[in-house]
Amino acid sequence: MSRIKTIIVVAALGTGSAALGFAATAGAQNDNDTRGPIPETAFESGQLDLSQVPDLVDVLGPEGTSVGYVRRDDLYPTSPEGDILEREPSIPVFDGNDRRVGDWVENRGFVAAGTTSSAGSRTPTTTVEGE
Amino acid sequence: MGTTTRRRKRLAHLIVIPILVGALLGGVAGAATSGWVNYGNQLMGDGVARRHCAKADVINNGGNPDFKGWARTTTGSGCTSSLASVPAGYLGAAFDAYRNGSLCGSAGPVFQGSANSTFGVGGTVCSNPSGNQNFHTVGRGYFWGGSYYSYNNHYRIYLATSPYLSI
Repeated sequence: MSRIKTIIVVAALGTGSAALGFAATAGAQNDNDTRGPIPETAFESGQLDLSQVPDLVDVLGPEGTSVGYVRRDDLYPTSPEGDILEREPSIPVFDGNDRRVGDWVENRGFVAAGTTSSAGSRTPTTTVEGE
Repeated sequence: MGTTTRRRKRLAHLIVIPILVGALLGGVAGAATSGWVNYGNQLMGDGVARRHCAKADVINNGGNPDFKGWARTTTGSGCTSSLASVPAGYLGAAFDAYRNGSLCGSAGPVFQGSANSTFGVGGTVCSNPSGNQNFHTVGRGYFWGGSYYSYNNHYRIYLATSPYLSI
């Protein structure tokens, strides 16, 4: 009987941990997060001052209006040594209530949830090689 | 008295009109650049140390912002002389575009297809609604480090940021 109780308690703890783990993953924002556009002063030195970049960076959609936020650490991830790391080609965009409203897709911009990334128009780019 | 007033008005027009035209043209043309940002000498994939430089531009292209991110290698102490050609694929570039500090577009990374010292990618990726908007570019330069670097599939990444361009 006591073994059964132990099994039930362990299973319950396991489920609880899993739920907490999920909440930590899904809960991208917390009350202390700063959010909004990147301030002018963060650009001024010629090298982006990440300490001035808000935790949640404002994102504009195809209509040019704000559609949500991306996490600074998703946009400009860094290594423990401070090296800039390559970001994922698609990063989540959240609204102010922490709901995922779409993704920021490299070369496309904001793609709303429920649409395929191929639905958006591709960013027109040119490359310049020389010297 | 009337003649004097007319002369004064004509003089005022002669002064004010060119100023207004100049201001208007100044608002249409223009560019903002980080200049080359020097990230120092690093060993690249072929075992040769070269200076790594990154740059970000935003240019007024007929009233729309054109964003550019750049990468360059040199063998000098700075970024503008002794340019050092590197094999194809050693350099890459990307950029993020911002309107009034909000992310409005991005492109890249794209990698060079032939040997050279300088590589960039650009695009007009953000709308420009009426009224003055401030645009910035965050350029990302990619530099192949091969076995001398462990992150990012062996590419070092360096950022450069342009000052704002008001259009």
